[in-house]
Formats: sequence, C-alpha cells, structure tokens
Amino acid sequence: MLELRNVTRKYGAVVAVNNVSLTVPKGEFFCLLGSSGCGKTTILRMIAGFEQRTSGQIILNGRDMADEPAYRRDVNTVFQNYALFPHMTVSDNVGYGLRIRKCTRPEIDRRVGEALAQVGLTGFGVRRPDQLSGGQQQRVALARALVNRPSLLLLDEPLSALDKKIAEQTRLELVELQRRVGITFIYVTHNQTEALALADRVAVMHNGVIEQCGTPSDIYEHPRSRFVADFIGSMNFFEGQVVSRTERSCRLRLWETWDVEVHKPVTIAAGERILYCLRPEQLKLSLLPPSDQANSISAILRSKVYEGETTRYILELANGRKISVSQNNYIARLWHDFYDVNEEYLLVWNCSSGEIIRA
Amino acid sequence: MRKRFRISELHLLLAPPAVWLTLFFVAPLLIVLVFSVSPQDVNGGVLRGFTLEHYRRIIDPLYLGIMLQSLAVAAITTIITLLLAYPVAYYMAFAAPRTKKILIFLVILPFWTNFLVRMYSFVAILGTDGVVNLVLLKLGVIHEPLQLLHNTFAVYVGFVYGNLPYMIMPIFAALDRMNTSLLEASMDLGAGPVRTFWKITLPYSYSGVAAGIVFVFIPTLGNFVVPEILGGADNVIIGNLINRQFLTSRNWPFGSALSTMLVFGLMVVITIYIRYFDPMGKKRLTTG
Repeated sequence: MLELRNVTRKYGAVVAVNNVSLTVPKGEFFCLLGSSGCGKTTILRMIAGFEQRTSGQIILNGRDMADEPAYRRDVNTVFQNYALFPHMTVSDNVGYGLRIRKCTRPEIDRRVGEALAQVGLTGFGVRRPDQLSGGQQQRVALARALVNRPSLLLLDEPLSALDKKIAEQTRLELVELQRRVGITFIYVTHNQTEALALADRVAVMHNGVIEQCGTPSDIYEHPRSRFVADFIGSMNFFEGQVVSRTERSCRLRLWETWDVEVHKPVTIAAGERILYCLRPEQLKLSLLPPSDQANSISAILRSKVYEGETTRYILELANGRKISVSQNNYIARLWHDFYDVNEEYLLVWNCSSGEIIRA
Repeated sequence: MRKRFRISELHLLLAPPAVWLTLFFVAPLLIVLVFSVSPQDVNGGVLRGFTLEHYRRIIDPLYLGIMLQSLAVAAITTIITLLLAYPVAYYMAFAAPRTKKILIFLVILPFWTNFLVRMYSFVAILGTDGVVNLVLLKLGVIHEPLQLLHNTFAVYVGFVYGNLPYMIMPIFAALDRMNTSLLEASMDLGAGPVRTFWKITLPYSYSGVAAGIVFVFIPTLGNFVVPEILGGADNVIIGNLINRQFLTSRNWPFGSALSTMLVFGLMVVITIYIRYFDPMGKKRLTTG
C-alpha cells in the first residue's frame, strides 16, 4: 500500500506539488491525470526516488521512503521514452534488475523468459532495442520492470509515443496484465480517455494539487469543480443562482432568465451563484415541448459538425451563449430526426441530469 | 520542387578532397615507399636502384628497442590521458548547460596557442629555476631544485597535457548524447551509483573512449617535438629516430623505411578500431 502525506515539492519559489495526500491500496490501477506542468510527473518521480520531496511523507508498505535512494525502493518504473539500455540485448535489459539482485543464472533465464512471454515477446530476447518497433520497445520496458515483481509499478505516459491504434490495443493488454499480476500500478497521463479506460481510480491534478479523486465514472459524471468538469470530456456551463430548494430538488434561475427544475439535493443556499453543468450528450433537440420531468430552453441551431458516430450541434441561446449538443447519428436516423441550421428548436434535458457546482 | 541529386552527382562532392589527398598524401606516401627501397646517397637523398637493406637494418635490436619504447610511451600516455580525461568529460556532460559551454571553451582554449610554444612553456614551468621549483623552494618543501625537465617525467607531462583535449572531446560527445533516464532506469532497477557507472555509463561511452584512444595513441607514436624539447638523451622514440635520419644522419632511405613501418603499424591499429567500434555506424544501418 502506498500513502502520500502532505507531500510538497518546491523548485525555488515554484511549487510543483502542493501538499498532496493520497492513498493507493494494494492491487489498484491508479491514474494521475493532468495537463503538462500540473505536477503529476513530479509526484511519480518522488515515489520512484528520482526527486526529493521538500516536505511530507511517502509511505510504502508502512515505511517512509522519502529518504531512501531510488535503488533501495521496491518500486519499478516504465519510462516515457522507455530508457532501454542500447548496448544490451532485450534479454539483458529485462534481466538487469535480477542480475543486480544476484539471482542465479537459471532463475534469471527462467524469469526473463516468463516476463517476455507475459508481454508477447517470446523469441525477441536476442535482439537489440534499436531493432524493435516502438510498441515492442514499450513491452520490453514493461517486462524489465515487472520481472522484479515490485510492490509498485510506476508508468510515466507509457503509451504517448505510440500511434493511436497500437496505443489502444496496448491499453487493453495493460489492464489485463495488471489484473493478472496484481501489482499496484500508478499511471501518469495527460490523456483523459486513457485514464478513464484504464484506471480503477483517477486523480485529476491541476497546479500541483489534486482537484478530485474518484472512479472514472465518478469523475466524469460528478465533477466537483469547474476545472474537472471542463478538463474531462466536454461540458456546457450554465451560470445562475439557486432560487429555492427542497430536500430532494431545487429550482435554478439561469442567466437571470430561464427557470429550471433539478431533481438533486443541493447544499448551496438560495441566492448563491452556481454553475449548472450539462454534458452535450445529456441535451436533446426537440420541436415538441417536453414532459414535466424535463426542462427546456429555446435556442437557434447555428452549426452542425458530423463526427461519425455522433453529430455535434452548436445552438445559440437568446442571450448569445453557445451550447453544444451531441446526438447519436444511428438513433437520429431511426427516428428520422433532422435539424436545419438557423431554425429554432427546444433544448431539452431530464430534470435529474447535470451537476450543480459553486461558481 | 527541389531537385533530387543522384548518387553519381553526389560523388562530385568528393572530388576536391580526393584531388587534395592524392597530391599531398598519397603521392608523398608513394615517394617515401620508393625511397625506402632505394640505395642511400651519402650526401643526402637517394640513388636509383632497389634494396631491402634498410628494412633489414630495422630488425637491429637498437632500433627494435626504440620502437618498443615508442609503443610503451604512446600506450602509457594514452592510459594516463584517459584516466585524467574521463572524469572531466563526465563532469562536463552532466553539468548545467551554461557551465558546459564554459568548460568546452576552456578545453579548446589551448589550441589558440601554437603547440611548440606550449611545449617550450613547460621548460619555463619545469626547469630548475622554473615556476614549480621556485614555489616549492619558497615553501620550504625542498631545499635543492628538483630535476623535472629533460627526463621521462617531463615527456609524459608534455604528451598528456597536449593530448587531453583530444581525449576529453570524444568521450564528452559520447556521454553528452546519453539520456539521463538511462541512469535513472539503472537506479530504478536496483543498481547503485557505482554499479550504474560500470554497467551503463562506461559501456555507453566506449565509442568515445575508442575514438579518444585512437586520437591520442597515433599522434603520440609519431611525435618527435615533445621528447626533443622536454626529454633527455634516452627519451628517443620512433618520431625522433625518423627525424634524425632525415635531418642529422642524412639517411633518407632508412628514415623512409622507418616511416613506412610506422604507417603500416598505424593502419593495423585503425583497422582494428573501425572493425570493433563501428565508428561509421555501419552495423546499425545493415541490421536495423
């Protein structure tokens, strides 16, 4: 089990990681997600031992690791650029950690063979890293780390250098491999799709702090800050205030104009400013007024963008705000739904949709 | 659209250096080869004819001894230079960018002064009334000036000093290319700093070390200036021997025979270097 307690890392006056605490239970696939410079890689490097923390504790299996050098930590890393040793064969690369630990020759051979089989590279042992494709090098890096059976595996954007198809395929294999070996994975990425697809839990980072930590569906469906709502997927923000609230629902006034019902309990008091967040796929275009379980605002369709599986409609509200709606093309065809640019439609959504956050 | 050059057209680029090398390298080499099998003219120069007498003379233990001594001096110089240059190159490669630029500048700074002048400056430094002796005398470390000049020690000082940049630069270039994540990967896999150096850093820099060895060993073997200025009577290496055949003994054919031997010897060294250290990256291209 890994625990970070109030970990801070400063470079001069710059605070790269600001008082971060988190707990990762054994066997979890944990993802640090954020754009470049958010501090996610610094956290990873502090766990690995390549960076020193300015303050705080890094506890692995009950022991504070903060002052242990990298080579004494029971942690292995898959580097972004793989960092394979160019002067060694694939087998020698994978066996490096075992040779350092003074394993016997037969044991090294056996475990290297197993590790290469695990990543589907049996028979590649005699090659040199520069004779492998990017995807194969990535697998060697993975095997080289896993062969040591660390209690923690750190992965620093391991798929970012691969092209899209191979990255997607490797992603699936990675999840399967993690389930099989049961080692705790800490995975750093700027790619939200990767994070949502891979992780048991995701921590969204911004400016050196964890904005929100939760399961992928939690992060996507219940963002707790504007940053997280905006960073993950696409989001429409309706500005407004709470008009009234009951135990299970509330009434919002959006842009001082439109009153809507939201069937969710809120802790925000009446009169306070809020942001009402709705995903493009939660909104629908309609010509008919909705049932009493739904809200509607009229808007003019300004443009359509065909995206294959879906079409994105950009609508303009009476106050000039643009709202994005995404509709499944297959379902639209079944229902014979066609919308014309510059026509007026109703934006419709269910009263139980959307999230309300403090503005 | 840009015109693509054909290979045959690219060959034209080789024409100027080819002409230059033919005129000023291949031709003199052939002349030396011809001289080495010609009879000696006692007034200097050569006579027409053919003889292997000069090569037979090389086998004389006196000359063989000088050759072995030359090899030993070049080898020891190379080893000392390597041991001194490696830490410097290592420090430079991992220094901050600004420090790195300053250090590169400092390493090539001596080239601004003529080699001969720099060697004579050692006379001023190492002489009986030189800087080193004066300082040591003033400090009371010694009471009599030390004999630092005109001996083997001075020859090594001169050779090592003169060759340091040629060893530092290729090793620096090799280490500078190395991604620091390789070192982190080694540490990550459990190797401490010392083992990381022996297993990762040093093997990674072998190409630079090999280039440095060639750049130092070969010029040292043929050098005659350093032993001439800094050495004593018994510090004669093959370069001095050749030099004397041409300038003092007026035995051009024997000097040519010695030169020819030296050239072939060095060709062997360079062939080994190209074979085993692949400086042109040929292996990578064909097997990749």
